[in-house]
Amino acid sequence: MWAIIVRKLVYLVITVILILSFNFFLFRIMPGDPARSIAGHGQLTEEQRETVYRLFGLDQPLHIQFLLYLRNCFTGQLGYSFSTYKTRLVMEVVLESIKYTLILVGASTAISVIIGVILGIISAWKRGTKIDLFFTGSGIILYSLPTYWFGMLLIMIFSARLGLFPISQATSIPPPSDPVMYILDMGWHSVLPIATFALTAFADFALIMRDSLIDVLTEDYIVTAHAKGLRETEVLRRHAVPNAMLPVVTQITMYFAWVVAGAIMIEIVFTWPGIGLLTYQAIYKRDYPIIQAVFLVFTIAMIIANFIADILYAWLDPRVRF
Amino acid sequence: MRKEGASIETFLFVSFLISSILATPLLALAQEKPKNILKVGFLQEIRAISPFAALEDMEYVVFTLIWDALMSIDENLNPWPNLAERWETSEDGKVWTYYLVKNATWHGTDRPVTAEDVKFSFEYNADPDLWAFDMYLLQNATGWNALDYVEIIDTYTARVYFRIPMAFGDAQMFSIVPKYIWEKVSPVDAQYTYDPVAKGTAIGSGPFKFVERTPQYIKLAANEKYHWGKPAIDELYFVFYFSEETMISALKAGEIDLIAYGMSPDAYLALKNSNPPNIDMAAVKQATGIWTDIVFNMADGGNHETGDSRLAHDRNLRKALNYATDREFIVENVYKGLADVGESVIMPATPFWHWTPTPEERYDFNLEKARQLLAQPPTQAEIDQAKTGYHSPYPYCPPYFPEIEKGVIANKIRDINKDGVIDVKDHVPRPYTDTDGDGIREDVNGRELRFEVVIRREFPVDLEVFQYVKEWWRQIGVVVSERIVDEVEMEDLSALPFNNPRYDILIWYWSSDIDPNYQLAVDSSFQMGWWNDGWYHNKTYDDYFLLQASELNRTKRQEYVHMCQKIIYNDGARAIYAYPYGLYAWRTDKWTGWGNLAEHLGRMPNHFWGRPPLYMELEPLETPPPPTGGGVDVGLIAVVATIVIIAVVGTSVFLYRRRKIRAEEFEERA
Repeated sequence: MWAIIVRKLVYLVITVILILSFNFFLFRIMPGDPARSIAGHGQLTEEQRETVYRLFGLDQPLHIQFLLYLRNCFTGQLGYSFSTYKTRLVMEVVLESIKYTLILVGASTAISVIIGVILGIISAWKRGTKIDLFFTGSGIILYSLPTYWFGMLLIMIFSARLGLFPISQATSIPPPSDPVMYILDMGWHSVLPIATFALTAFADFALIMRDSLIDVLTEDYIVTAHAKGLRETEVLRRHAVPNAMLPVVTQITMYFAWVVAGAIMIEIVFTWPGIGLLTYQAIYKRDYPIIQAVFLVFTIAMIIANFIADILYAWLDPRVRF
Repeated sequence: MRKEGASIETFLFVSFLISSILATPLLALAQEKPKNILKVGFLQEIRAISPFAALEDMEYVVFTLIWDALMSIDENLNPWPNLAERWETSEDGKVWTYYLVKNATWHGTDRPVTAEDVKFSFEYNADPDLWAFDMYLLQNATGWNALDYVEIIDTYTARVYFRIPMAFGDAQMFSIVPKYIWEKVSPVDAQYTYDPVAKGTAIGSGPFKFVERTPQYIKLAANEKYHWGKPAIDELYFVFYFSEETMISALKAGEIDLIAYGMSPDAYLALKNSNPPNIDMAAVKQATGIWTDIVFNMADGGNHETGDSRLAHDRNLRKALNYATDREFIVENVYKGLADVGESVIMPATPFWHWTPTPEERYDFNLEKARQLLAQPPTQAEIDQAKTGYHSPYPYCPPYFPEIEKGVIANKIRDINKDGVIDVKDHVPRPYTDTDGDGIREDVNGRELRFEVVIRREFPVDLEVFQYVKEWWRQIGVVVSERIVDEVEMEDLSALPFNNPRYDILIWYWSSDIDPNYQLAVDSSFQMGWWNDGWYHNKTYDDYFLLQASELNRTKRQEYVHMCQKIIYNDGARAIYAYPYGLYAWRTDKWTGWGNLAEHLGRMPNHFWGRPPLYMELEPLETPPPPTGGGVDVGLIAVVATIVIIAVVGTSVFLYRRRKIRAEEFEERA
C-alpha cells in the first residue's frame, strides 16, 4: 500500500509541474496586451508602456518570468492582481472568493451525493418499476437542463413569484452585523443556488449508484444472503450497498475537486461572488496573476482528488492494484 | 429507562440552547437604529475607485461621489457650485479665480479643503504622466498643456493662469484631491498602480465617504460634514450584477431600489409592459452624451497591419459608407425606439451646442448616392493635392503651438501601390468598380473594397448593428467581416504602440461632459496617440477647436463648436448612428424626490460630475425597513431555522434510539 502511495505522489508532483508550465504559457499567448488592460482607455506612448511593463514585471525575458513564476507558485507568492493596481495580493483576492464557492459548491455536492445515492439505491432496488422509471427519468431530465436557465426558473418561481427566497447575492445588503444572523442570512441566500446545483447534478450519482448496485444484486452472495432469511433492507444495507459504493466513492472524490472550480453559470445567475465569477472577471480584464492562480488552485485540486480517489479505491478494494 | 430519560433531557437541553442562541441576535436586531439605505444596481464592473484610474462610466459615478470638483452640473445641466462657491474670470479669459467654500473638509478629518489643494490638483493633472483629465487642460502627447501656473491668494482663493483664454474655466470637472496624501504619490503611480482603497486613502470631500468594497457591493456612507448639507441617504450601496434578468428581478423583489446602468432596450420594454407595482421608469436623453458610432481609421498609414489607408485618405469612400448606414432603421429595430438618430459628436441633450446637419448634408440612407460617390473619379483638387506630396487638403500646421508639431504624424503621400509613381492612385484610388462581376468593387490598383470591423464582445447590440451594416454595405459593393474582441484587445488594436493602429473600422461609443470641449478634444490633433480613437487629424478642425476652447463669447463659441461638428461630419470620419437613451427603473415605495428625469436631465442616476442632484435630494418615504433588508424576513429565518434544527436533532435522537433497540433485539436473538 505504501508503495502505491509513494508512486502516486511522484506522479502527482510531475503532473503539477507540467500543468504549471502549460498554465504559464497558455495565458501569455492570449491576444491583447496586459499593459492595455492596466492603462485602459487612451493610448500609451512607448515610454509609458515600458513603465507599465516594468512595474508589473512583464519586462523580464520569458524564461526569467517562468522561473520566477515557478518559484512563486511553490512559495505561495502569486503576486499582485493587475486589476487592483498591484496592491492586493492574488491569494487574498482568491481566498476572498473561494470561501463563497466552498459554501455553495461544497454544500451542493454533499446534497447531490446524498440524494443521488439514496435515489440510486431505491431505483436499483425497484428496478423496472414505475418508481425506477420516475427517479431515473427525472434525474436525466434535470441533468440535461441548462443550469443558467434552471436557475432563472427557480428565481422566477420561488423568489419573484412566491417571495420565499432572495433573488441574488450571498447575503442581504447590507449584511447582518450579528454573526449568527449573518450565517442564517447566508444560508437563506444559498438555498436556491444550492438547489439549482444539486438538482441538476444528483443524477450523476444516482445513475452510477443504480448501475453498480444492479450489478451487485445479481451476485451469488446476495442470493446466499436472501437464503439465510435476511430482510431485503438488511441485504441492501449490509451486503449490497457497501460493495456497490466503489464507483460512487470515486465519483464523489472527483466531484469535490470541482468545489474549488466553482460553478460559473450559477454564480453569474445568482451573483454569487465565488471563484467562478472571479475567473470570468479575470479573463475579461486580462488579469494574468488571478487567472494563473485560479487555474493553479483548480488544477491542484483535481490532481489531489485523483490521487485520493486512487488511494481510496486501492484501500477499499484489495483486488485493485496499480 | 435511564437511557430513555437521558435522551429526552438531552433533546430538550439542545433545543433550549439553540433557541437561546437564535433569540439573542433577534433582540439585538430590535435595538438597532434603522438607517436610510439606498441600493443601486448596475451591470458594469468597477475596477477602480480612484480619480485617476477610472475608465468606465459607473467608475466615474462612484469616485465623483467621494472626490468633489470645483463645480458640478445641476439638474438643468448648468454649472453648479461645488468646492468653488463662485468663480470669475479676467477680461481676456486667461485668469480664473476660484473662491472656495469655507466649510469643506476631508473625510474623517478636520482638515479643510484649501487653495493649496486646488493648486496641487491643477499642477498634478498637468503632469504629462497623468492623462486622466487631459481634456480640461488641453494636454497632449508632447506634454504641452494650457496651464501656466496657480497662485494662492488666500486660504480659500486660488487664481489659475492659463496660457490661452479658457472658455471652459467654469467646467473644470477634474477631482480636487488632498495634497497631503497625493503629494507622496508619483503621477505615474497614480495613473497605473496606486489604489486609494487598498492604501486607505480614499479620502475626498464629496457627499459620501468610502466605507468598504466586497465582491458584492461598494458601500459609501453619508458625509455628515458635507459643505452643501448631509444627504438624507445614510448609506449608499452600489450592488454588482452580472445578469440583467437577475438585476431586474432584484428590483422587483425590493432587494435594490434603483437600476442606474445596464438595462437593454428589450429588458426595459419588457419590464415596462409588465406594469410592475411600486416601480417607476424613465427612458431619457443622457446628459453624459453617450453615442454609438462606426469609427474609420484615419491614421496616415491607415491599418498598419495591412497597409490599407483608403479609408483614411478617401473622403468619398467614408461618405459612401455613411450614406449606406440606415440610422433610423437601427434606432427603431436595434434600440427599439429608445434612442435618437445619430448625427454629430455633440449630443442633442445640449441643444445649444448640438449642431444639426442641413438636409443636403445629412446622411439619409441612400444606397444610390453611395454608389455614385464610389464611382466618381478623383476630383481635380485631389489630383493636385497628390502632386504637392500631401494627401490631406488640410496639412497640419498649428498656428499657436509649435511644440505640438513634434507629435504630428508625417502627412506625406507615399508610393502605396508600389508602381514607382507617387500620384493620386496611391491615396484616392477611385473610381471603385466591380470589374470581375463578383459584387465587390475594386479600386484602380485592383484591390477589393474589403475591410474588417472590430466589435466588442461585451456588447451584443453592437454585433446586431453590424449584421445590418454588413448587408447594406454589401449592396454598394463593399464587403466587411467582423472581428469580435474584448474591450482590452480593441484598445490594443486602436492604440498600441504609439502610432500603430491595426484596424480598419471599429464599432464603439463615447460619453463626455456637458461642455463641448471634452468631446471636441477627442478628435483634435491634441489627442493624437491618446484619446483620439479614430486618428482624425484636420488642421481646419484643430483651428476651430482651439478657437472654441478660447472664445469667451458664448454665441461666438457656439459658431466654432458648430463648425467643428460640421467639419468632422462632412469629412465622414465617424458614422454616429444613435444617441441611446438612459434607461432607468426605481422603486417608489421607499424613497421620494426622484423628480422628472425627462425634464431635468441632470437628475440622471449616473450623473458623474459630483454633488449629484438626485442623490442629494432623495428623501426616505417612511420609516426605513430594518437594516437587514433585501426582502428577507429575518425573524422568519430564525423561526424556521429553529424548527428545522430541532426537527433534525429530534429525528437523529429518535433514529439513534431505534438503532440501539434493534441492536439489543439482534443480540437477544443471537
